[in-house]
Amino acid sequence: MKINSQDSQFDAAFDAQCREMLSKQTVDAPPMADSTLPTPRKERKLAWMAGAVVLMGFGFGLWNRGEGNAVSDTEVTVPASIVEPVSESPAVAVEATVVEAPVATSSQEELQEVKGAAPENEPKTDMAEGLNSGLTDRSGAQASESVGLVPAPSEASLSATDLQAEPASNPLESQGVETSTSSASPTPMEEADAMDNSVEPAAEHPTEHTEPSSAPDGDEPVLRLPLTLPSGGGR
Amino acid sequence: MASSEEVKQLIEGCKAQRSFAQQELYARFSGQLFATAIRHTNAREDAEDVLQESFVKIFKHIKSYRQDFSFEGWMRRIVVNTAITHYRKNLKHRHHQDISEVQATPRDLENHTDLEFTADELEHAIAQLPLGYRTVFCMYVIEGYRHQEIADQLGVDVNTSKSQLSRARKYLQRVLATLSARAQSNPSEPQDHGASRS
Repeated sequence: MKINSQDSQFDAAFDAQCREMLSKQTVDAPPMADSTLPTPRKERKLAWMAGAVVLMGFGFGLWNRGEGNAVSDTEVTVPASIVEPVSESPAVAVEATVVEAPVATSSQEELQEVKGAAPENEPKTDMAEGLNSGLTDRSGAQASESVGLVPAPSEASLSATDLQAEPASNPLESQGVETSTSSASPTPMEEADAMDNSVEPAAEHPTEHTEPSSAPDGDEPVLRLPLTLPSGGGR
Repeated sequence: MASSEEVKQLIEGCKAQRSFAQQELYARFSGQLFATAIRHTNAREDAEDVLQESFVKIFKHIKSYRQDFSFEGWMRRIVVNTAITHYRKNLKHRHHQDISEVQATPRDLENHTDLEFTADELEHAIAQLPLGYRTVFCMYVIEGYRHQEIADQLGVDVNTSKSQLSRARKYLQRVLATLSARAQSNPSEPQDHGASRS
């Protein structure tokens, strides 16, 4: 096939004519199918939100289940004297006594080492000062209430020595009061450590730790609350 | 034809995925794009599939359209590419038809210097071309592709693209010259192009 300049010009003109005719050509098109339109953004957003809600619900359910297990575990280890109100049964006091006894004893010993042989009336003063200083940040009414409920110092010192002598013997336990003490007995050291940590800021006031020894009386559980408040409040 | 401002609003509406704008865009451009799809397919059913598929792509990728290009050209490119994909997909089901098998044309019209034809005549003449030749001709002449692009798109050699374009062009010129000669010899006779799609 011979291609000369005349042919190429003719081809170019032919192409231009074809382009001009066909580029604007229209044919009756079929109607748009429903599937041609993309999914509206609103529906997609709703679908995403629904999915997110389902996922959140699932996650919350899982978390709730785990939290339930965690609570059941802590129920065994957390001392009731810190959490429970004063009007609780004596069983709670027993547990608190067992848990806090080593701390109170050691702090009492330290106190005696530092101060030497302190008179029996001194702890009252120290205790009141410690409580006052511990409660200075709190509201005045609450602090005054706590101070007003401070037990007698002689009881505290006596019970501390009792606990030093026989830490395992618990009068209430011997009375047949069954509490979580037995279940908590495998981990008294851990609890004591935990209490050490929690009571650490208040360790400078040893009279606080003499208080749990008053528990064996059994008639004064009400007096225990304000003494445990500073350590509880420190948490 | 839609003005450029209206088209811009339609584009923005489609970018925001407003259903009304999408339907309006389809109503305005579907006829033109359907004609393009028909030229690149063998059957009307295939062209309808290509058109719907092309609009799905247009609505999906309209955010990537840049205003500095012709929107119609951009859409036509999508249609052509979709038709090529469709053609490749169905290539194994078709038998190859060479241009020599197409209806013979009178040799005495080879040396024509002037052609007069209408758009319908041209459409019917193009419809008689085998799909491969037709695709190359439409891509090069109407859509403005280069031979390298055509070769890349169709998976053929550049020289194949060039030779197919040349042969398709010559074939069309002969057909149109024949029609023109018939019309001149029998001006009152209604023209029958015999253009039936396979």
